[in-house]
Parts: sequence; structure tokens; C-alpha cells
Amino acid sequence: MKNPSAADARALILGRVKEALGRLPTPPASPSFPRAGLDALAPVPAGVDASIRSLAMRLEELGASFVLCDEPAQVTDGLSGLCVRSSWRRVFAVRSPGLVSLLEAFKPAIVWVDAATPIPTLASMDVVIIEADAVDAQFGAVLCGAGPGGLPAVALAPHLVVVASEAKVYPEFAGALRSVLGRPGASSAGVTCLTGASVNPQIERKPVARGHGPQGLTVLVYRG
Amino acid sequence: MKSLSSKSFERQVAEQLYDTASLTRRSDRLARSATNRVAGWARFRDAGMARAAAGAIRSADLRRMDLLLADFSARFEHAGGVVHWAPDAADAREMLTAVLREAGAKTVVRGHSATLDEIGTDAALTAAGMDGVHTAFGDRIIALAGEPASHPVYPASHHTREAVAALLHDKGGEALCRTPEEMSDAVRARLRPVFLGADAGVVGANFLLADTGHVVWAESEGNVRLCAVLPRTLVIVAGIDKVTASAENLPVLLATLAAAAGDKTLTPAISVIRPDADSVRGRRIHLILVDNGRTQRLASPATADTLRCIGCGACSDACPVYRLAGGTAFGMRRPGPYGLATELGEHEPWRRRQLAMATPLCGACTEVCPVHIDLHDALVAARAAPGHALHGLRMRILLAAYLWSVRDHARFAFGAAVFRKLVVALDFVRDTPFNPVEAWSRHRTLPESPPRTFRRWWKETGGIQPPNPVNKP
Repeated sequence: MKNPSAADARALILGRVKEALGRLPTPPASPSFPRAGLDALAPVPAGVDASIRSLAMRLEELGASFVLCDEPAQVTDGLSGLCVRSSWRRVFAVRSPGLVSLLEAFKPAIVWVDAATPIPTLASMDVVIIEADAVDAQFGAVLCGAGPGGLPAVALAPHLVVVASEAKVYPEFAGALRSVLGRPGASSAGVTCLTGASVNPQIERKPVARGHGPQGLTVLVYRG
Repeated sequence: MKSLSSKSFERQVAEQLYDTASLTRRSDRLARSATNRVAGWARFRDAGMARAAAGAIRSADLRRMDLLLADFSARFEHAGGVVHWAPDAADAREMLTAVLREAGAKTVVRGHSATLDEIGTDAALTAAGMDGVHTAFGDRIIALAGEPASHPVYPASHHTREAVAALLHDKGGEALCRTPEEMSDAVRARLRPVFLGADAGVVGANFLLADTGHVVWAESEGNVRLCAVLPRTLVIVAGIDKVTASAENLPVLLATLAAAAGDKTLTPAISVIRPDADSVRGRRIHLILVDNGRTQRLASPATADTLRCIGCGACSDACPVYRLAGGTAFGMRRPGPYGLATELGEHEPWRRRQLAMATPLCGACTEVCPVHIDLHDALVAARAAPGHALHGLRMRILLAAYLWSVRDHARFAFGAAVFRKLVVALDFVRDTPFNPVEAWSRHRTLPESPPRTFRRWWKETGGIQPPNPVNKP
């Protein structure tokens, strides 16, 4: 909703910008710089296996855990083992069709998160399981949270477990981001990207994995 | 006009310089950051190409800023957000408090943002009777200490862990912690219920995507994400310079930002959100686009490129004055070269004159900038701006005399002879209150005057060096 003064302010600022730009020299024609910049990044060898190997290395550097399952059926066992080893009791999962079918045989009780889940309820969880929208092998970044309830769940999770099929592993961050933001629909209107745990680097500039977000990250990739 | 400290810049620098413990700590931390940056850039196949591309992207963004802002605002509003345009800081404050009042906000959680500091968010929230809570760790510490930031990205990095623990205990009401992990956990536990109960979140932004209408935040702690996705009302305050043409630019910009800031790969927590995202639908999302002098900077070729900044803080760490003096002496939102190039006009004239000289113009800041901002040119322009007169009468007379003497051989010889006599005469007053360079020589030794001038030595020897290895003419 705009009032006349708001419209005036918009016109005023855009007018100032135009006037300022009129005084600047015309820039030289540039090549396709986003592409040039991407070419400057460290490349990841082609192929799914190479991407998965690179992802595992990046995640190790970042202090995150990586689990590779040879088939979808192993996901449940992998997650159950993680829950037992880490003593997670209140297990939440962000509802998505893929994750619901993957976790059918999951033994611990799951609280499914969706748009209707009250935010205070999320504060009591030990771990959040979420399906990745994309995983990037170049930087070890996981992109997720676009679905209903996803962003608050990721933001509040003490530990985050991200599940992704090998088809969601992209060799380049640019491709991973494009696959999410370029998708039509509301789910492409929000994405959160994590590279490791949230970090507090403010004390003597020594990063400690104790930020306000997840303090631990596990990425579980399944084949098939 | 602001005056964060009544102490002169020189006085504060002197205090920092002779605090050897502080100097050593600062040196250690800067070395740590430098090592991280080297590792960050080493991940690129061609770091130079990446920086050139990032600079070109930001430069092209500035050259089309009017079109990009129009595109971005249309897409953001189409997605359900509300865009406000603030010509100056006072307008931005008014818009911010009006939105928060309308939302009935009492507790407001805020993230680390130079733009929020620029418009005076804390004072505006207090004046409006709202409780503004700093959720970024560094901001929380300097707010408890009542100090200005010491670094654009690490505002409390001048404190030791013991000092941080003491501040959290004495002024923040936390139990006395020993390790950074304990301190971080204490603040996380303290703020978690505040996040959950907050009425509104107020944050800045790293980038605004013109082709999609998304707002992008890149952070380490995850507090901005909580400010952005939990409260019912979100107000984003962003400079108009944050707009970039396309989501296609993000990988390069985020990768260069992370390398220049010394992050391991990418910044740990990146959020890309538009008001129609499933997770935030139904919430009120406002965006205040702030000009506040940016279009003036854009109008000048010497300062336009400062708007390319992506906020990594590398220029501060590279600056030799910053390295020795520490950040708090500057009393700026962004202590270091970037602040000197862009914030001088906000200070009182006496302090402005001092701060304008707080750079050797060595170009180290330009060297490390990931988006190739010619900061040294901007610093020269800032010095030359009206009201930034650099020198007092004594310096002007000296410079005028120097200029007169170097225009002619005979004048130069005469000037050199007079100068030599003056230097010799200084020996007689060196240890007296009449020493005119007392301040300079307080911590330095004035070299002895050579027995003859260079010209005379040349005339007598023809330029042949004596066998003495010292080569004293």
C-alpha cells in the first residue's frame, strides 16, 4: 500500500540515481563476467562418483559428517543408527513426499513439521531431518528448507540431518542454486544454504561451532 | 555530526601503540585472518579472474542501478512484500519505527548490519519505547562495553576472551565462562527465548536480486536467519547499492565474499528469501531501501566504486594504520579505509581533519579488495572534499615554502642550506621545551645532520663513493 509521499520518495531516489549515472563515464563492454568468475572457481571432476567424493572431502573439511547409502532402504538404518549413537529422542522431520516414503520404516517416533507446526514446538527438538533440494560438491553446501515449515526448522535445529538422493548432488554451486531458484512455484521463493555448522568467529577471531543455528550437520546421500 | 570520543585520534593511537600486549594480540588475530584468507583464495583456480569478475559484476550493477532497483522492488512487492524508499537516515528511522509501531512490536531482535547502524536503529528503537536486542555476538559485546566497533566484521575482536567473559558476566548477567564455546553457548541459551518471543526482526541484507526479488543474507552465526524467519514482522533495511542484476551472479559474489572474509568455503549460513516463500508466507515483510548519500557517492567517479563493497572487511586488516592503531581509535561503523572513504562527513570537523590523515595512501586496501575498489583514490577524494581541510596554518606555510623552493635550482640550494641550518640548530633545543618537533621526536630519534650536503659532496667527489661501507657523504 503506497501513499503519495512514498511514491514521491521512490521517484526522488530513482531520479537521483539516474542523474548520478548520467555523470559517470560509460563502462567498457564486459564479457560474460558471471561465467568468467565461475570458470575461476576450483573445478570438480565430472561424474556422479567424483562429485560425491568431492562432497565428502568438503564436508570433512567443514567438520560435518557424511554418510553414503547404496540404496534408499539403507537410509532408515543409517538414520536410526545416528539417533541411537547421538542419543536423539525428539526427532523432527520436515514433511516432503520423498522423505515421508524414505522414513516409512523408521522406528523412533517422528514429529512431522509443516506450515501448521507452531514455532515454539520446534524449540524442543533434538534433531531435524530434512530432504535437500540440492547439494553442492564444489563447496560442500547443502540447499534446503524451501518447503512449508522448512526455514524455521533449519534455523532452530540443534543438529541437522540432510538427506539427498545422488541425483541432487551437483558438481557446481551455481548449478545447485539454479536448480532451486529456477524452479517455478513458491518453494523456490526461499532457500537456506549451509556449509557446516553455524559458527561464532567473534571471540579473538577463532571460529567455534556454536552459533545460533545448527551446531552439527550430517549429510546422508543415497544412491538409486 | 557525531563524536564518539572526545579523545583525539592521535591520542587514541598513541595509547594503542604503546600497549604492547594489545599490539601483540592484534597482530596474532590479523595473522590468523590473513592465513584464512590465503587458504580461501587458494581454493580458486584463478583468484585474480574471480576478483576481476566479481568487480565487473558489481560495477555493472552500479551502472544499471536505477533499472535494477525498479525491477527488484516490483518483484519483491509482487511476492507480497512492502517496499519503502528512504531518501535519508531520518526517513529510514521514521519508516522503521512506523512499521514496528503498526505491528505493535515491543521486543525487536536485530542482526549485525552497517546500514542499521548507519541510520541509528538503536536510538530510534529506544526512542520509540521498544526493546532492541542485539543478536550478533560481537555487537552484543560492544553494546555491553559501550564502545564503537573495532572491525567491520569482527566488532569486538579487540577484546581478549577473558575480557569478553568478564563483560558477559558483569554486564550481561551470564555465569562466568572460561572458553569461547561456553560463552557462545551462554549467549545462545540467553537469546533463544528472546528469538521465540520477539515481535519483530530487523536485519540488513547482503544482496538484493533484481531478476527474482529475493533478499540474500550471508552470515556465520545463524542469528540473522532466526531474526528473519521467526517473528511475525520482518523489516529489512538495505542500502540501494545492495542490488545485483541476477541470481546468476550469486555464486561468484558469495565465493569471493567468503574467500576475502576468510571463511572455510562459503559463509556458513546463507539465506535467500522472498516474501512468497512457503516458510514465511503470512508474515509481514517490509524492505526499506536507503539512499542516505549513496547517490552522491555514485555521482562522483572517485567515489562511485565504493558502492561495489560486499562487506568482507579485508581492507581494514590490510591497512597499516589500522593494524597498528586498532579499530576503536577510528570511532567508525567500519573502522579502516572503507570507513575513512565513506564516513568522514559524519564526524565533527576537528575529528574529520584527524581521520582524513589516518591513512598512508599505500594502496594495500585496494590490493586486497575482492571487488577491485580503488580505495586509495576514494581516500584522496575524501581528503579533498569541502570541509575536510587537512592542514593547519603551520603546515600550509611549510608546504608553501617547500613548493617555492623546488621550482628552481638556486632556490632549492638556498632552501636546502636554510633547512640544514635549522636541523643543526635543533640540536641546541632538542631537550628543551622550545623544541618545535617535540611531539615528533618524543618517540623517535632525529638523525644527525651530515657534515655536507649531497650537492656539495657530488661537486667535490664527482659521485665516487668512499671505501667506507657506511657510504656517508
